[in-house]
Amino acid sequence: MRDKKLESVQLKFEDEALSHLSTLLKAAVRIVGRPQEAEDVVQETYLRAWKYFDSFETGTNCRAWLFRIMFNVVNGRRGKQAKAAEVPLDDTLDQHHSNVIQFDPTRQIEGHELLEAAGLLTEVHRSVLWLVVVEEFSYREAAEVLDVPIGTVMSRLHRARDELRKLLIRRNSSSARG
Amino acid sequence: MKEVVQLYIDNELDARATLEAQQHLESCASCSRLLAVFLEHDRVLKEAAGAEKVDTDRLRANILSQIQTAKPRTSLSLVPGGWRNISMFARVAAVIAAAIALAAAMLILMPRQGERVFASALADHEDHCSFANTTMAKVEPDELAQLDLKYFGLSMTPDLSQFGYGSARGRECRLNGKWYLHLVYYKNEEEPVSLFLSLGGSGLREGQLKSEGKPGYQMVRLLQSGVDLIVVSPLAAGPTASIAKAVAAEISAAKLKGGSIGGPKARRAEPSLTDCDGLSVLVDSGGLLRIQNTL
Repeated sequence: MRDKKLESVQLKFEDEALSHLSTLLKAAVRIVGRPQEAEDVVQETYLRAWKYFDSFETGTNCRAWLFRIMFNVVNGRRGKQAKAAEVPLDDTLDQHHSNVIQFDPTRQIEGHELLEAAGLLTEVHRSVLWLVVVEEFSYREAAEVLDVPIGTVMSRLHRARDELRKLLIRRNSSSARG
Repeated sequence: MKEVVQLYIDNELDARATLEAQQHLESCASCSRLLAVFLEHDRVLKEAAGAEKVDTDRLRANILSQIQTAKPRTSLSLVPGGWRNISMFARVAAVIAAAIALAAAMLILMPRQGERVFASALADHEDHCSFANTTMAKVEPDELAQLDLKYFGLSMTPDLSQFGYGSARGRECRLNGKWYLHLVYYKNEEEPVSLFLSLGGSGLREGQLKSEGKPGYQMVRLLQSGVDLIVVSPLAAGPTASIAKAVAAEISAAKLKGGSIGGPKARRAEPSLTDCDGLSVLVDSGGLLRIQNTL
């Protein structure tokens, strides 16, 4: 028979941590890019969270704690691989549009377009974009999750938003040319 | 300027800075257009992410199944009576064992010195290239020349204009305990390139080049004419090495001449996406971001 105290801890874990399961899985799918690997990452995240649940302080931000664990899992899997592929932006496009902001208020950007474009960013840029824009972490919280300085969060986010804008400009131009 | 718009969107400005940003946005068509673009993208991205459905049933069942059989880390609070019920001998043995394990782990896992320098250079590049930190860097040619002379014995600053980069901004920084001159070069709205320069002590042979890639960055280290040069860039390995070799060639030529290397050539900056130079971000003595209207 399981220790009653252990059962109580498990119930608390299910209540506090497992309530964020779908949030973490959605983020993992978008950040690592492969659904099966995302599930593996999230499963490992929760096993680690369970193992170190005694270090979690009730009443503090469980979601941020779990995200921090998840990024440790992702980084551990990446190991010493070479840098992620850069976004192959078309430099000639930038020359034509360097002084123009392409925003047509009459053209609605579709959600799937943005998600696809975000998927083309490098993993580090996707990560910070997801944490700040989608999960609404502050810069400080995102810096703690990613274990980087706040300045790094700012510069990566700036780059991510700018790359996203350029990707959508390129897509618009391709559509316009038919 | 885009950084201010970003900080405003993400509610990272204090009350005064927010008010100043709002006042600027009311009068600047360029920045308000950029704000509209970023707000729209953020809104659509959040909505699309929120609307996505994921099936968690199977994953939840797997997790629950595994935690049923796995115990959390043996917290002392879960041991009846806790630390008090463990004998003195057992406590001492546990502490000694932990210390031995930690020392062994450090010996095995501690990165070699070169890797620590690369890691330190990358962290410094990311930190110093943020807009807030950039505004605190040295940009006057005579100030930079003094730093160049101090750190690597030449009175002029490496020139990256052949690669499309503008003039450098300089800061002093420590990488793994050694002081370097950190020069940051910008090109349009792209992520900048960093050069770190100091005299000697790199562990490399003269002319030897060492390269390492990390997600999003490439780093090259080179020893030339006694100058320890590190390049951190968002470019691929080839272009990063080209920059390192070009700078090394400049250093070598200057040392041979016994004087300065060529200063940055006059180059008109490429127009930026927003043509607004009305605001700059400063860091005040309290470490808070402030906006200064330069119009």
